[in-house]
Amino acid sequence: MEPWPGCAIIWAAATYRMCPMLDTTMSVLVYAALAFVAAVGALELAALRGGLEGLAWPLGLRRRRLVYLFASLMIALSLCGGMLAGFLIAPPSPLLSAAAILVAIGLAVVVVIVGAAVRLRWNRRHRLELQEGKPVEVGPLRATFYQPEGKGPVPGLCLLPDPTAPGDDLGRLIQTLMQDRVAVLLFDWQSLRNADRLTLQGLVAVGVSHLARWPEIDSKRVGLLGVGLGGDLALRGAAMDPGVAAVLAMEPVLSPRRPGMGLDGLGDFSWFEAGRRAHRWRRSKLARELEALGAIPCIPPRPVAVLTGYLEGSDSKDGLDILRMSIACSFAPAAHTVAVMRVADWFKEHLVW
Amino acid sequence: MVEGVLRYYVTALCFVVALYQDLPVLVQQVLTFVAGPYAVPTALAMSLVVYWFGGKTMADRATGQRAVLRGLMAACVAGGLAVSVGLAWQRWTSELQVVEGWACWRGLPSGCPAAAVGFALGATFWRWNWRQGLWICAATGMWIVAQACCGVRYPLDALVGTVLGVIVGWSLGSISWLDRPLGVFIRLARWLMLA
Repeated sequence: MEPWPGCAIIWAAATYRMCPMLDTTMSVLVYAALAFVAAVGALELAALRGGLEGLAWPLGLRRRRLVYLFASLMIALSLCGGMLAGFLIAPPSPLLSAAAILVAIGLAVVVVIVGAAVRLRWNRRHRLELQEGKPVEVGPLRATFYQPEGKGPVPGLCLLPDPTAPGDDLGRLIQTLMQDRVAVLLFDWQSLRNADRLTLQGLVAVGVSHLARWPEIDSKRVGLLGVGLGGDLALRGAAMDPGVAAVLAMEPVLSPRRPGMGLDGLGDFSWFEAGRRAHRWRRSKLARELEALGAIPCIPPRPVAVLTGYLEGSDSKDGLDILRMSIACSFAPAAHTVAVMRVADWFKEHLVW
Repeated sequence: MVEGVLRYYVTALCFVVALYQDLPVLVQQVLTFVAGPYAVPTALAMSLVVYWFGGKTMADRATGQRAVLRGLMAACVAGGLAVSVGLAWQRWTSELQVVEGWACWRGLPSGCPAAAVGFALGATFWRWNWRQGLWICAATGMWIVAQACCGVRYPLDALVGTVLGVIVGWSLGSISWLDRPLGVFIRLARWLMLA
């Protein structure tokens, strides 16, 4: 009969025990490995509590029960392993043990951050398939036009992505709006490099007038929708152009101080991507120049709204609707179904009738 | 007089160890595991990780992070104080020659930094959220009792450590001006996308 392979491990552990130097190294390594397992479980649990996709590894946060089960299993495994190790290897001294736990937590944070980045990158490959839009070029303006099926006239929306993150996936937002029979003109900032505030505002005005002249569009029902810094641009554009019937800004900046930095950025992105975006924000002159807060009073009585993840405060102020959500989504609000539904409902009420 | 106090210190351990030896073997093994330097410190460290990263909103997280930083600060101060008290106590009693033959003698008292650190953390967290504080105090209490039962610590050492930890933790938890330097640290961590 073949000996059970576990015997070899126990024998090896018992041999190590006889050599004090090896015994100490071995016990520190074993306890550090066990603490690492526990730390991965604890971080997964923390990511679930805080809704931080950028800290969730190896599982994403969609299946909550599975995440709870996984985290509990990791912590239980670490505790049982510690108990078992206690029989085989003498535990390290308290100081060495504390050092091992600290190193294990640090290592777990690094591994989880890198692992979550790889997982999110893999997930992003599966983008939503949109019906093909019609490319539009008016002077320096590049955009894509999406028209809903059926006969017009339909309301139209100029969709302004964040100029500091022009490659963001807005497919879900566009699809939901088109299902509500709203035509969408998606601006493409990618061809512009270091465009200043005036150029961007000019392009918004060109886009709005171009959309209003489109044959299937009702020129009295053209609105503006902006995401992030694009939201600030939308508010500025609506304040200057009386032809804009309604405007909504999703998580606009409103002041030079960017909200949602720090861990909030890990709600949708990996630590690396969130860091890159934060860096771009800090360097962006546009965030300082737009001052969209000052533009808001010029927009009413036309409908104006801001969608935000901050829960505190009133829901309406001087004609401004504040749509509050219980999720922090400052970097990519359009990636959240809840946010998209609120936006679509608001436009349905104020633009579609 | 010093000898009398020390004898009382050691006799208390004899009493606890005698109780421990009457327990079933399985309970003894569990207590030995709990008394070790792995189980409870790891559990406390993991709790801190969850409190640091796990708030639902940014405001929740900032409050939790401030509590974690205060707790760590209190733990460092209390641990340092406990070591100093232990050293002073050892210096005071080191001249005694009679002690070597006493039953349950485990060396000179040390002040129990483990109890000081754990209870300082627990007391600080209690001020933020009593449930979290209760969990930390309960885990530390279990750890210290297990250590006393296994003869690793003198019970009165544990008591000294506990009192020190609670006083330091509660006092540091109530100092409002600490919020400012801690806020600077949290802002730095936020800049690194870690808070």
